[in-house]
Amino acid sequence: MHKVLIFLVLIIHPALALATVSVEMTVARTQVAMGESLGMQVKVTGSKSSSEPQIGGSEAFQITPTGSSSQVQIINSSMTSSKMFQYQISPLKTGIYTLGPAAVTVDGAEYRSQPITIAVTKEAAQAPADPEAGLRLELSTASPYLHQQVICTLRFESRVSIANAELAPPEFAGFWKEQLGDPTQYERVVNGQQWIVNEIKWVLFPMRSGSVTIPPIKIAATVVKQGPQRRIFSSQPVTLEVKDLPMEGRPSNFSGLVGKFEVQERANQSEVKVGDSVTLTITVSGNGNVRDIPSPTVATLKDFKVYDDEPKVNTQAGANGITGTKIFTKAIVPLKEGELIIPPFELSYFDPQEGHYKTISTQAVKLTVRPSDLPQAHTGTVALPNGAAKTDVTVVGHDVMPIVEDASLMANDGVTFRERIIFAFIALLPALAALAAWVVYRRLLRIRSDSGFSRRIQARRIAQRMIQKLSHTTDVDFCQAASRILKDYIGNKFNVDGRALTSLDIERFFREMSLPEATTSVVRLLLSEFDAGLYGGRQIHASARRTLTETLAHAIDSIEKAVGR
Amino acid sequence: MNRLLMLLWMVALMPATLVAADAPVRTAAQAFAAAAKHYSEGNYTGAAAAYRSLIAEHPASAILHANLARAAYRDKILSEAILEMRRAALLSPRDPDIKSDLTLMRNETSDRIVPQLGMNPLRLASALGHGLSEREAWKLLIASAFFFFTLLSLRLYHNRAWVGWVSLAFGIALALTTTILLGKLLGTPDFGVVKAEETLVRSGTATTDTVLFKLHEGAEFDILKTLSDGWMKIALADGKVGWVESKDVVY
Repeated sequence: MHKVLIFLVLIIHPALALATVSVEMTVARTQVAMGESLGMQVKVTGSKSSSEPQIGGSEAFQITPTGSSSQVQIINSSMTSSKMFQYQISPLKTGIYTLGPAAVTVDGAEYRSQPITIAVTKEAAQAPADPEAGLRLELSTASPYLHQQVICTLRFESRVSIANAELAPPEFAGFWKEQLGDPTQYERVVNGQQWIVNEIKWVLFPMRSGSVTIPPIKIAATVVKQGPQRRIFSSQPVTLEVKDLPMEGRPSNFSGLVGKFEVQERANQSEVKVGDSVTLTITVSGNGNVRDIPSPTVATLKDFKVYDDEPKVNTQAGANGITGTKIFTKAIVPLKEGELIIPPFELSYFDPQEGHYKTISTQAVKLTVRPSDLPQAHTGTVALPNGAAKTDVTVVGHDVMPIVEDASLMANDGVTFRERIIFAFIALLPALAALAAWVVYRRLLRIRSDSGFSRRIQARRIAQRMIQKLSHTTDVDFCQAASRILKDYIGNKFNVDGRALTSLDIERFFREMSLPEATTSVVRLLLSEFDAGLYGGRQIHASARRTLTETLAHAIDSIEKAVGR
Repeated sequence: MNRLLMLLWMVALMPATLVAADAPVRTAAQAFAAAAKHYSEGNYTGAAAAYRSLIAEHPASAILHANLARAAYRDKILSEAILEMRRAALLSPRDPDIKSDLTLMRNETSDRIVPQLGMNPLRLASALGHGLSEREAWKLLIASAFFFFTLLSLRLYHNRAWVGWVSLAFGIALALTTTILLGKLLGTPDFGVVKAEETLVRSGTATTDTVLFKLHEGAEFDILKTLSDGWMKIALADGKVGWVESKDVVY
């Protein structure tokens, strides 16, 4: 409802809606060959009721109106109207001519555009070899310098009706590329035959020196001639010899900027208090890689603090490639009073036309600095002025880090197969140690909880220790000690009171444990021998004692094997 | 008399033996200095050749690979520069100079390849240990194994809550480092770089096979398979797979 009201007010009071009237005249190209034609537009902004434009300087061209259109836009309650007049112009003679200005009358007042200079050359190159259509790639220069902009023009010329043309977007490896405007279409006459030319332009910036080839660019299109026929048209490959930028005369602050540039500066005031800021606007304009223009530098600024604002870039794509401006805004805060000079800011670039480096600079700015109202202002403690924001770090060059020259750092940083085996083994050691600790822990736990287990696992060791002492004994002592060793061993092994065991008890145990009969027999025999010596008074000589001792040891081994631990 | 002659002969041979024993060390240092001299004089081709010879003898030195990469970069061989700097980064992944130079070199390539990590567990594990060299991963594994199993053993005899928690933490660390190491050993494929200005990646190993996509100088890829007839199956970090002629790449 609110917007409707505003619209009605604007309708009722046209004067309110009347914006500033401006006239703009544009052409698709500023260079045209005899026999070619190009489109021209005159746009009247701020009125949709202007008169038909009167084009000045038209004696060198045949100008044919091709239509007009009006447009009204309402954006955020602001109405803008415009009228567009379109023409097709064909040159009548060669030379450089000024076309325009275009003059229109709006409400009795006359408004004019800027004139345009157009170069008319002789008839363009011959027609494509293909009688139906052809694709041609042209470069503004075949031997540019590194980072110099090269205008690349792709023309698809056809003499027959073409439909569904599809261009595979070229990649231009080795270049940074940007398309120059929209594709244009015009006509040209070669050898009395009319060709339709569709033209698309890019600006290319070589990113490496040496020989760089642009491979063929392809367009698939349907040729309508006695029935449709799908064809692929291809341009010829083009090779550029990209020259390195010379080392001779390269300024220390050169950042890789190539083209042609000029610089202007403007300070918003010439009188300021200590601690207050002066805004210095440095505008660098020119033709080249405008986006890469670095911030101009100054040798020393000891009496000032400088705060850089985000630079603003404005580029236009024209017949000469990319032109534009980059505006650097610096808030400069004087730190002391007096008559101070902001020294010139400098910028270096390489001019490919002249083949050498140039350094351009701003004018020095004289400032009258009065004492601050704040007593501490001159100490250097200044507030960040309004509008002075931090900016991104500006990259002004690219290079690798220095090489390492200390041979002692040439270490083996990798891991060989042998080292892997060693590392794996070392890594496994703690696991094996932990496994061993667990086994010991389980054993100790069982020993604590099962007294029979402790006796069983120690039975043989105790018996063997006692057997070693048998050689020092006499007949009776031998039989007594040997009998005790055997019974203690069996008692420990089966967790019973061994000394109370009889031969029958032992035989029963052995049967229950399924011990071999031979073992049982040997044990029975041993006990019988020992009893005979102990109670029967049998003499047992030293040789017999040795035999019995060995038999006892074997018997214990046999039981051990049969029972297990 | 014979013994005396033999002794004299051994004494005479000793200096020569000492010189011979010391010779390889001094030769490597001299070759390193010679390469650096070539570089400082702007003879980057000579410097690169010298570093290549040194790498043949010391293939696991991050510094040699990085120096070769810098010489190749200055010599305008972007493919070798990227390949060697990646090798240096594998050996010394946290070196800030190597990381910075690799980023710089990658910025000079024209193909934009957006990495897709995918769900390959070994690749994920390898990515997890991106900032660690294999040697460091081994050291971490040994340290975490030592502490984990020591604490586990201690827990048998000294069963306190804190021992349990700390051993759990080291257990997680051990699992993590094991995963990282497995990823490094099994999940880091061979890689290569396109050296041709442009190369066609096809669906098969014949020049009549369909061109799937194009790669340009400096584009990096993983090598899936290498055939003796001059073809190589490659995978890009964004998942694209195809066959490329070996003559167009370095690896």
